[in-house]
Amino acid sequence: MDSVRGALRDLRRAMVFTRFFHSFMNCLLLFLILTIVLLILKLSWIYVLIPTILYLLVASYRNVMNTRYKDIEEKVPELRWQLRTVSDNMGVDNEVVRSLKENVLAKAKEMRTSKFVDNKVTAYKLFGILGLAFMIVAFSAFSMSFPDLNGITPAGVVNKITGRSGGLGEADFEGDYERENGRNVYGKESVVALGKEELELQMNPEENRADLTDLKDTQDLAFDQRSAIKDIGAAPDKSYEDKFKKKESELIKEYLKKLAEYSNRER
Amino acid sequence: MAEKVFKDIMDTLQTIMASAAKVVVGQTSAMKQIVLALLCDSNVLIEGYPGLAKTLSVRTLAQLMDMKFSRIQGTPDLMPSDITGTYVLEEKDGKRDFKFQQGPVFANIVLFDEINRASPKTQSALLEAMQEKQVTVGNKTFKLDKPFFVLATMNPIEQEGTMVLPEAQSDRFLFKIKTDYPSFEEEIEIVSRYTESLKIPDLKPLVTKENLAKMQDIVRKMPVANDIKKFAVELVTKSRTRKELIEYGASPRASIGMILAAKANALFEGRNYVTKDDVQEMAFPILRHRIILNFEAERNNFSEDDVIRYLLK
Repeated sequence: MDSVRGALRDLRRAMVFTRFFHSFMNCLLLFLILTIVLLILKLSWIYVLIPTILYLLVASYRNVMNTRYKDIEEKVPELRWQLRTVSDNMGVDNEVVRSLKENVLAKAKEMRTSKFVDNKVTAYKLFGILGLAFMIVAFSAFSMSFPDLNGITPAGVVNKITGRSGGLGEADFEGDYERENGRNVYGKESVVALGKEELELQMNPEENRADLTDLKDTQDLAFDQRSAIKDIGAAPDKSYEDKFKKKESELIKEYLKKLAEYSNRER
Repeated sequence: MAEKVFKDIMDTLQTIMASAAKVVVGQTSAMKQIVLALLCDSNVLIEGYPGLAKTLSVRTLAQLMDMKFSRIQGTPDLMPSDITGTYVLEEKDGKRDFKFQQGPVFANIVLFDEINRASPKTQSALLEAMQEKQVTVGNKTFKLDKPFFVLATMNPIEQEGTMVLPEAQSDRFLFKIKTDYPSFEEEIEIVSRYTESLKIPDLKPLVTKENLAKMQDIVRKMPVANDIKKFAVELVTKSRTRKELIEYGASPRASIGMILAAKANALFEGRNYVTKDDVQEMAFPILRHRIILNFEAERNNFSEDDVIRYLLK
């Protein structure tokens, strides 16, 4: 009897494993699809991990909890009534029941994980994963550009999500100007008046070089007196104040004076 | 061990069917149901138009069984004692004594041809034999030899001079088998077989009493899932509760018969477990003589089989 129960448990385990495999593939598909979405939104791919891991956890939990012998019956119809009959007659022992149990055991052993795998669905999912992965690699390798969402979404939505300012495409100057009542980041009204006309500006690297031979006459420059500082003086530091008494001060002065005279004489 | 037993039973049943087919052309379904009834140790009522090999089927099957066979022809003047037997005065050594003379019911396979032509009193004489496998004559009860089957035939036309089978008696038949007309090809084969030669194929007994008892034992031991039991009981219960088409439904004896017949059908198919299909297949011969249709069903020209099909939906 235990052998029948063991065989049933093995069947259930195989079914759980197969379902987990499918959940993992679904999870991979979700990961790739969300990665592409985030690439379009210019968000970091790291955000994809949150829904992916959540999905994997929920799907795995549901698979383990919801896999019943009924599902095995549906997948293996030839075992349907045999399994039910064996389980309802666990306590019965005669030659017919024994033979039925042997048959169920033999069939359960023949059953492999592949029996539970839907090849068609698995193939579709694998192709899906390959296709999505190829798309991501292609987008990255060829630096393919995506449509700028600033042009198709309400102003600032994408910037709020991405935390960046501006877009790569054409800005809606007129629209922005109207919305901001003439006080927008694009500056003066005269600039706005340019509309969508293109300005061609070119930097000439030759003009940025310093030519030492090219000497020019000096020019007189008038100094602006107004900016000069008028009161400049020096004051002794407070640390010197009252450190010596007046008598001692005179003595030191005298000492220094004689020292100076002596020094001059020596010279 | 069990596998070998199963294989032996399968071989025997297939040989029975193949041998019967040498004599009876077509009627495979009817023949199968008769065999199933034997496996269930139960009685069969066969209904069909004249000339559809009802009697021939039973006689052929009896030939394949190594058992005592007797035949009763139903007539309006048939008396119960003509079936059960009676006490006759016997003189031995100058002494007279009553001795019980066994009737045709003392056999293993009893063919009651045109049972509905016998009077209700005579039909009822079979009740005890069919259900309890014994016969009471006077104040003495005689046990019948095992196995004991009554295979009765009747035809649905020629209603004049016939008596309707009492419900209590028809309930004792496990199956009511309907024989249908053969197909065109089968009829060509029948014509060829019975017009070109007078020789009837010689059939040898294939099943002994012991063999049959073993097969009946295996049928009883066949395990059934609880869902199958519930399905069978629900079906029979529905026949009692669906008053829109049925006036009187089937008794619990039908539930017992349904499961037993489903077990026999599974064994016949070589399986050691019963499926819902077995019950569905057996529902028709088991219920068709146990339900009485109401006026609404008759007004719509529904047959018993139509109503059973409705119950199965």
